Order: sequence, then C-alpha cells, then structure tokens
Amino acid sequence: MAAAWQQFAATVWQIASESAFWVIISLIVGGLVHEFLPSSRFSGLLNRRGQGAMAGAIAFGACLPICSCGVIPLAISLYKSGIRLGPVMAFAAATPIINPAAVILSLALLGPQITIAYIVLGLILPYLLGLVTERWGDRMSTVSVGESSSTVTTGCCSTATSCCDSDTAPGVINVVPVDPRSVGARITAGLRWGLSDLGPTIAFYMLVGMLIAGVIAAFLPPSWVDTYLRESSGMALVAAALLGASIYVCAVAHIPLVATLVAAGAAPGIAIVFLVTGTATNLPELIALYNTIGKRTVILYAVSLIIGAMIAGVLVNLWLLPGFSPVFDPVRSLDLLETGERLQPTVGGTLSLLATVVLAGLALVGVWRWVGNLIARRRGTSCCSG
Amino acid sequence: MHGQTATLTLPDNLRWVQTLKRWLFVIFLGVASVMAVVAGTDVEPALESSPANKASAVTEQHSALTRLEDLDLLSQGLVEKAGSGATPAHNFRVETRMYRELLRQIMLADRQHPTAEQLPQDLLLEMVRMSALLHAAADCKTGYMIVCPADLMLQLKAQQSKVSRALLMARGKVE
Repeated sequence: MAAAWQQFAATVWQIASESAFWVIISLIVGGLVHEFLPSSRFSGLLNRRGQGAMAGAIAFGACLPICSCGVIPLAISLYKSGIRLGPVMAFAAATPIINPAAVILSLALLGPQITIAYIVLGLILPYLLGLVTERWGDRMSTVSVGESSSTVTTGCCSTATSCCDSDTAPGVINVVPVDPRSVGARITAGLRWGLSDLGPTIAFYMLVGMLIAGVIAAFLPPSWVDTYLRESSGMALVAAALLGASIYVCAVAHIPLVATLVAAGAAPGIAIVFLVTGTATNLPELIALYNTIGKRTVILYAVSLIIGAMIAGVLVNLWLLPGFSPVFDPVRSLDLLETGERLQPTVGGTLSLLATVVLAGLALVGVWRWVGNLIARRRGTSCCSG
Repeated sequence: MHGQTATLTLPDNLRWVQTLKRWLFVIFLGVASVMAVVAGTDVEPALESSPANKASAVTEQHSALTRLEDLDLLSQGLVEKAGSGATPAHNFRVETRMYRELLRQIMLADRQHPTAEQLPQDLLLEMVRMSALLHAAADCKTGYMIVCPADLMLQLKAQQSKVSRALLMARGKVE
C-alpha cells in the first residue's frame, strides 16, 4: 500500500512538474491570443472555410515543442476567441504528437520506416480529428470574427468580473464592441484573462486529471508497457491505445522506451499506436477539454483518436511485419540524438519548481471557485444557474 | 645612390634562394609521397598477414572493449542513481552526456579499423539505445532531482542487463 501511495504521489508530482512551465507559458500566450486574435487578420485565416485553416493549425502545432498538458490553455483560448472547433482540435492533437525533437529522435532510434509512419499519422490523424469534431462536435454560437472589424467575440466567462468560471455552458459567445484601449492595457487585460480567469479553471481540471492518472499509475503494474507492447494481437493493440490515452506520455521521453521494445521484437504498429494515443491525449487534458469545450466534442475526439490510431497500427503492422528490425548507423544515431536534445528546450529546476508552485496556487483558486459555485448553485443564486 | 643599388640587388638574390628552396621542398615532398605509396603497397599485405599485426588488431579491439566495459560501469551507476530518487538532475545530465561522448569517441576510433576487426554493431546499437534511455531519464526531473517513472526504470534495468550481456558475448568472441 505504501508503494502504491508513493507511486501515486510520484506520478502526480511528475506530471505537474513536467507540464507546469509550459502550462503557465501557454496561459500567458493564450491570454494574449484571446485579447489580440479576434481583432487581427489571423483569426480570419483560421476561420476561413475549407481545409487551409486546418492545415495551418496542424503545421503551426507541429512546430511547437509542447506536450499535451501544455497545449490545453492555448487550444481553449483559441476556441474562446471564436476560432472554429475543427482547427482548434486539430491544433490540440498535432502539437503534442509531432514536434521537431520527436521526429529526429524517432529517426535516430526507430529507423526511417517507423518515422515516416509516425509523421504521416501525426499529420493525417489531427486533420481527421478536426473534421470529425467540427462535423459532429458541440455547436458553438459563433459570430464570425472576420465578418466585422468593429466587433470581437468573447466567451461568457472571459471577463474578470464574471461570476461563473467553470459551469457556464461552453462556447456561448457574446458580441462586444472593440475597446479602443492602449496596447499596454490590452496586454494587461490579456494576462488577467489568461492567469486569473482561464488559469484557475484549467488548473483545477488538470488537478482532477492528475489525481486520476496518479491512481491509475499506482495500480497499474510497471511491467504493463513491456507486457502489452511486445505482443502483436488485436487485444494488445486495444490495450496499448486505451492505456496510452489515459496515462501521461511525452513523445520525446517515450520514444527511447518504445525503441528498446521494438528492438526486442515488439510490433511496430503497436509502438505507433502507443506513441500517438499517448502523446495526443492524457486524462488531465481530456478532463479540462471536457469541461471547457464540450462533452460531445471530447468524447468524439478521444474515440476517433483511439480508433484512428488502431487502424494505423494495423496498417503499419501489415506493412512492416514479419521480419522488421530497425537498422541504422550507430554514430549517425548518436549525432541525431544530440540534435534532438538541442531542439528540446529544457526547463531549469528553479523555474520548474516555481511554475509548479504557481500552477498549484491556480489549482487551489480553481477549487475555491468551484466550491463557491457549488454552494451558490445549491442556494440558487448563481447568475448562470438558470 | 650606392645604397640604393645594394637594396635593389639583395632582394633578387633572396628571391632566387627562396625559389630554389621551394622547388627542393616540392621535389622532396613528391619523392617522399611516391616512396610512401610504394612502401605502403609493398608492406601492407605483409603486415596484414603477419601474426604480429593480427595480434595488434586483437589488442586494439581488447582495449576498445575495455573502454566499453568502463562505459558499462558508468551506465550501471547511472541506472542506480536514476532509481535512487536522490540524484541532482544537473549532475545526472552531465554524466549522461559524458556517456554519449565517450561512446561516440570509441565508435569513431573503431571505424578506422578494417570491417572485420571492428566492434560488433549489435553491441554498439544496444549502447546507443542505452544512451537514449539515459537521456530520457535525465528529462524526468522533479525540481532538482531525478525521479524516473516505474516503466522507464524497468526498461533502463532491462537495457542495462542487455548491454552487459552483449559485452560479455563480444569479449568471448575476441578471446
């Protein structure tokens, strides 16, 4: 029991400390995006009908070295800024799956064939997820921000004075006139929105997700990766997809782990399924999106991701099995590993600790507001209860 | 006026001497290169077939293996440190980089030997994977300390024993 507690605490702490810095950065950028994007030309591009917006969102996401937790605030702020659901979800999926460091690491350790499969899947799957969620996801009562330069769209919970941060119907958009404030005042307002409005809500849901991920890690035997990823049966494919989707996986950290298993004879398709589902989603991300973007969207997103990754896994196995073994030049691999390490920004211990403390503080504020809202709803005094 | 003629003739003399020196140097280089090539083609096969050269190749491979075994000891220590939960992240990262650089040096030195006398590729690949896993472990830090998740720790230990086994097999082949 003590070991389980230890594992639980270690997992929660690990997810928090690894993602905290990027979550804070993402909250700051998200706040600025929310303040400046609706009135910029860029929002018109992202809201343009057709496939260009989706492709642009995927390309932009693929260049960012952020894991799935770090991308949540940015994705939500894009959504709250009135960007179409399809590009937002495609961005949320593409950012953690594909990044330059992960591609180089994959080339160094998994060989060119799996890397090609990984890149193709990392680009196609977010695109399909974007299409599916836009077609069948939660409806947002949007007013196209590109239609009029004199209006901007903001969510119900976007202002600092809002009394309903977490329990408002997501995606409800009000049209407010453009505030002719100075740039400094707008930056302050953006930061306030990101850190004071969005931050506590996201941190609260992330905390819930981290606690559940910690419980799963405490009861999941550590050898499960070794057990499931070594098989090539359909059941192993399902297990790899489900477990990958629920635990916290960072592509850069897990590629070496998967590479050793593939070298030991694991099916390459299962490795791809685990990498893609693991990096594209995790419980903190799913819970935060579930409560902010919409239930139907997140269920569609998770189910489509798992099914899509499994189909891709089967195709990769058909392509590479039997007799696949990644062959590469050891010296070149070491050079690529070094390049990958240079491309992956590392956060110093002090900065990481500081960010974790800030995130924990935001989560506490989120808990406080959630309790307050709960009490207010019971009393029937919430402005959003009706 | 007299001084002027002296200054005009002296550089001419110097130029002549310099030109001669250059030509002599070029001729010397040419002769030396031709001699080296001739000597190389004559001597190399004799050396390759000689027992003394074979013994030297085996000795070099022995020394490369010994260096790899030293690296193995380093990685064993790193795996233990990764599991201890009390290793400063910065130190761990530095030692992990040292492992990679030493491995690269050994591999580059090994490439200069003929293919038959090189270290086994499987062994080197296992050590490259070990290096990658150690780097993944170096990223798992909570604040200032390295704290590895259980699945990564398991793989680190498995890979460590794989490398040690491959080294033993390589040592057996050489001997």
